[in-house]
Amino acid sequence: MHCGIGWRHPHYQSLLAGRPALPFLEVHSENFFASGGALPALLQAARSHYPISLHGVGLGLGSAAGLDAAHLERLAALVERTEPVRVSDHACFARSTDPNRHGLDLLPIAFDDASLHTLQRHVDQVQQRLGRPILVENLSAYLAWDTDHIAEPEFFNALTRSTGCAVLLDLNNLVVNAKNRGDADPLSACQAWVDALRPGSVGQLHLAGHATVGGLSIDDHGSSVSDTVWALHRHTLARLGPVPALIEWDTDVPELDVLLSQAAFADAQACAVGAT
Amino acid sequence: MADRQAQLLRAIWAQQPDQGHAVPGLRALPGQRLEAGFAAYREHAKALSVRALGQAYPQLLAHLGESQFAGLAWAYARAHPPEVGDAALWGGHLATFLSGLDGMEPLPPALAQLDWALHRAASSADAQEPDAGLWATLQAHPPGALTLQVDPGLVWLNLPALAADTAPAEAEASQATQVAVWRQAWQPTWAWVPDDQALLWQRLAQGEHLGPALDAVWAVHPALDLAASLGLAWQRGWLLGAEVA
Repeated sequence: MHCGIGWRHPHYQSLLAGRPALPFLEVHSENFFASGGALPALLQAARSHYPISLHGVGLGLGSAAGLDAAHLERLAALVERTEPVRVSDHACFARSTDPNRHGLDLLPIAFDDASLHTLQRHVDQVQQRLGRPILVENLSAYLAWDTDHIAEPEFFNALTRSTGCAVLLDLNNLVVNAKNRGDADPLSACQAWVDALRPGSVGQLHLAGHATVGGLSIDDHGSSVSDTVWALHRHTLARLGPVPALIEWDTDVPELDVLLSQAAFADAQACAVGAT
Repeated sequence: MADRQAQLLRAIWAQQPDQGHAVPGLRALPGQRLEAGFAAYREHAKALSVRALGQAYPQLLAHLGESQFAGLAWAYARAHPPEVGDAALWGGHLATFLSGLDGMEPLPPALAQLDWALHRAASSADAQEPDAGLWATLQAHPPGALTLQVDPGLVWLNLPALAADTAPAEAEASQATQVAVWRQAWQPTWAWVPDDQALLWQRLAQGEHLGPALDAVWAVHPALDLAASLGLAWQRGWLLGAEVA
């Protein structure tokens, strides 16, 4: 099997009760940071049936102000007790120290040398603390910086080459960005993006839906995977070979069966291109 | 870059949005307007505020209704933006913020205090298992020789507004204004506690020996029933052990 699902609150109990066949579950790391109570126990129960992938949304690896040491320690404790198959976060910034603030969002980094060095330093710091390589996800971004001058795939190639981390390649984010840039053929643009990545540098894929709000495509993880993203998934598997994938659905979360059927469709695509 | 990032964060959570125009180096995507891109992040912050605070403050949300709560959440978010990357840790100043609003009734801040205590109790560290030899120790030694181990997650709130508004029968029966918040197994729980018992357990939680704590409480509340108080605390999981001082 190729495709797991994001395990979110509405399905905490139903998934453990039914235990459908899945290659792994992905959870948001911060949702399980608690040192006691029901959630850590729930994650341990899930862990006894499924491999767990920990996906963070709060490290802010591209924050020029530095990482929050306390946040990293809580992540390290979670990794130690969960022994996940993968640990990931985003190529974004999230925090500042003047004023002391965290956006609780995935904010855009500049694609320039300074950002690359910041990200390299922070990925190194996280990997040193966790004692394992991590995966770093490409963003959907709605704003840019005037210092951008490195093509995004090239930026990730430099990051993976220098740190040993892998890319968590979010195909929906590629499509969202291509649409928002006004690319004439978003699918072709995204395929070129994927083709520009170093072979072997991708550790996992994300598949999700997006919405259109006021002329802007928004990566809201609130609907089925779009046809363009499915087409890009086929292309990516044919190009990269067997890479695990995940159905990410975070808002208006549907019945578990809907997620499972999306995962089954991804599995079928992987079989069709021989990427299993 | 640190300064630019800080300015974007400040703009997103600002009282009055400047649409990102004041952030140096920030630009729109090709073919898009800067305002549209900035609005995507601002709207996310607004939605996240309502969602995160709604999870932490369910009773306050039910009391105010979704619309009024959403307005409150966004007002709070701009006054006290998040500082750490775990949304569950954000929002602890909401009761104080509410109290400072013009014309605020006393009940919403009281509900907020209770909600926050329950929210934090849900994820607090698991207490150690109670000592199986506790009752033998209690029976073998006089109170003055003992120190009791109290669940460190036990929280006390003085909520007269909540007593007056939401639990008149129960609160009037015992004239209680003190609320205990704790976690029973995995379930965050709260209860009104008579003032004499509340005073005793607050003193014990601070590490005071049982003898002096009792003397202090009996001086004010001579009717305190120690055996009943110990039994209730044991059932609720507040009492974890006893040591000979």
